[in-house]
Amino acid sequence: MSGIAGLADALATRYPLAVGLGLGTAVVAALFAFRRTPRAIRIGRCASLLGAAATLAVVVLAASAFQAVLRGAGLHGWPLLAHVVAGGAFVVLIALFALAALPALLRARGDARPDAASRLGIAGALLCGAVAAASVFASMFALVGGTAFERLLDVHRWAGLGAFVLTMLSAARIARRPHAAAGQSQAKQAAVTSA
Amino acid sequence: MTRALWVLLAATSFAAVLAAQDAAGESFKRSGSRRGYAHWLELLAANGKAIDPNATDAPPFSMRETCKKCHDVASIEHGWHFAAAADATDRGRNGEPWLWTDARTGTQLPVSFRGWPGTWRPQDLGMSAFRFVQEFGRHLPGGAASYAAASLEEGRFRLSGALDVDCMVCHGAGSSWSHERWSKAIDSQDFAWASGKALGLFDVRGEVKSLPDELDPQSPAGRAKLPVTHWDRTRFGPDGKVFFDIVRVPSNDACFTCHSSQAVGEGATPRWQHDDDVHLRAGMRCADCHRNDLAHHTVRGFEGEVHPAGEAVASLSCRGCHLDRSDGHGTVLARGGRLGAPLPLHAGLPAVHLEKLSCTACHSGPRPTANSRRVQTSLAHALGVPSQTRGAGDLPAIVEPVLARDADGVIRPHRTTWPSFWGFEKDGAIQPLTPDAAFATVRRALRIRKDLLAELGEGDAARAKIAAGLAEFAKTRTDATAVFVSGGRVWRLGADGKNLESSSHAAADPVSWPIAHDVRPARDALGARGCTECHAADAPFVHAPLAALGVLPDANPPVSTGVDRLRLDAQLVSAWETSFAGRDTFKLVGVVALAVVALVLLVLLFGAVASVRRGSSAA
Repeated sequence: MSGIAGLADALATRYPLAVGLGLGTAVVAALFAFRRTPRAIRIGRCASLLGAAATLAVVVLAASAFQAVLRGAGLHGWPLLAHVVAGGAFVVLIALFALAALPALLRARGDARPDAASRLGIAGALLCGAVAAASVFASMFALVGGTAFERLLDVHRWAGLGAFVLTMLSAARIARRPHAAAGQSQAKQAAVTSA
Repeated sequence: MTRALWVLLAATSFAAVLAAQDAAGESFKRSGSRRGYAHWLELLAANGKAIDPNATDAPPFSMRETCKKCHDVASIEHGWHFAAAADATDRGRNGEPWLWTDARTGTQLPVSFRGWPGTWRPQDLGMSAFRFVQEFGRHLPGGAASYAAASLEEGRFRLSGALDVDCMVCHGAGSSWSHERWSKAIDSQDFAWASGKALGLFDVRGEVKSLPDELDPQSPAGRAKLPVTHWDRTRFGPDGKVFFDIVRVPSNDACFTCHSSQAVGEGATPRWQHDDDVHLRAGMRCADCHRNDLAHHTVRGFEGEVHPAGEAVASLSCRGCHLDRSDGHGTVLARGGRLGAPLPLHAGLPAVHLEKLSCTACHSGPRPTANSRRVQTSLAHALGVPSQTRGAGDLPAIVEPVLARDADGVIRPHRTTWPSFWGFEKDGAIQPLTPDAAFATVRRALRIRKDLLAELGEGDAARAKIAAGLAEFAKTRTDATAVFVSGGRVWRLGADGKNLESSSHAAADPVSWPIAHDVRPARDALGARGCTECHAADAPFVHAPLAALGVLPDANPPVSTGVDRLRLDAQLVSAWETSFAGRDTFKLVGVVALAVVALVLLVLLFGAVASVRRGSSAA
């Protein structure tokens, strides 16, 4: 256990740096979202809407938390309230999104089937988001306290960071629109196939 | 030859140094045993000579001279309880000030040598060291010279003698030391006789109080007028020594001499229903936490306390004893658990509470209610001195618990009182008048005989009397404005010279000090019954109003709310309270949502495994 504790402490001191890297990744991903892609990734309109809402909640969560981390201060006042409210919305939204996107994620074939990277990214974001939420629920249900709660807060921080990065990457991939030429090329291929 | 002389000189000097060290070590005796030492003492007078109880002019004994044969009294006199006037004494966190109270003038002046916020130094009020000891010596453990910087060769100290540090206040076993007798000796100005009277070692005929200031105690005529000491010869053993029943660690009763309190007034819990501090119920003593070294730098036990000798005292605070000190990421830096202190899990309590609230905010003092209640304390109301006339409405008016944010930003429970006094205002600064200085004018103008509070009346009649008093004071001084400070306001005569007008001023602001006892059990802590004990629209923690208490009846006293005292954002507080309304429902929804996500992830995992297998089969 001392090895895990040592690792946790080592990671904890590097958390602000990791937050900075995560923000950078999100910015890059957002920039790539405006690039064209050979093939669109579709998860369905309902899932897209829910995913967008969940992404917005993640942005609020990240903004409220990271401003405190980067300032070296605790999370207090209005940012804390915003974090809590956004967290509550996030828990509900990811559940609804997971249900709505499941058919698309399980699709075996088709033009707009999410590729492996997208599926992994979405699954990873769901997993990290669920872990981040569960680590806080443990305190709401008075299951842990003291030193154990401090450990759970560490889990919450890292899972939250992972959820933010994966959500930004996944959202950027799904949001990209296909090339017009690539769309024609796909239409030709479909015609050849049917012939 | 010369060289030999130098060697001899060096050897002699070295031997002398060693001998001096040995002598110093032997002059303060130590038994080295955990068993209490039976003290049979030769009593010495202030001049260092042994007391002969059979002598007709036997003086009182001096605790200082008697004890210093074996104990480093010079160090002890610099301890927290005995030295306040010295600039070198670290004042630490503010504590309960002395409240100079005079019912005749309606005065309750916070006074302290330690310079705590909102208090007045006695010397700045024109209060002499003798006057201080006369007023507060009833609850002072002695040490007029060290505590009040008294010059024992001047003024009435020449007659009364020094009020030595009385070791038996704390170290006397059982009821061997009488607080009542001590306070009576102080009241009679028999300072030098106080220790002996409290121990019942002698009786005193006459009192210093009746002697004129100009009496020369060194002259035969003067000595003849001093109080006569009649020793109880049965207290002296065959060898002329007296037995002192002494304990090394003071009992709780010793501490209660000066650190008692009682709830009074409306809503006060009867004494027989009051539960002791949870630590005392567990068998602990006050001195188990509030301990000290020989220099008597008593540990006060607040977070961040710095011991004057640099000793490590962090583990003698609430957190230091109950919690492991960690770096915030689970690594334990120092372990708690002294004296079997249990580790609080605080299950379900977000860590932000432990940053913003002190342990005492949830665990100490009476539970917050819609209205703060009156409390009386030993220092302020002379608890311990029997009285048939002590009433719930007696000055000074102190209320508790008042939850407020201290200078370090942490929320703690406090006791609060509002200064009340007559004074003068000049260039925006207010200088109080001492009760002694104010009484003659007050009596003449207001016809007050004994108690301003009782005789002032109500409403306009009361205001008219105060106005009359201010008008009378105004005649005594033209370069300043006469004022009466009461109930959080400063009252002055209006432009018409008859009516009163009021304003706020720093001199009228309430004086508060944190409290840490009595500690309630964990099940009775704030929040133990749910988050909405504090996070609710009607929670006293945040919403209990606190109206200023003053001598002058005020239909609209200044009122502060918890939002003000805790320096909170009212809208944020309201938003949090709203969010707690659906908390239980949200918990259920959240569990269901996380279960759904978990199921979906499982399905995705199985789907991925099946896909890999299909791919392998196709290959």
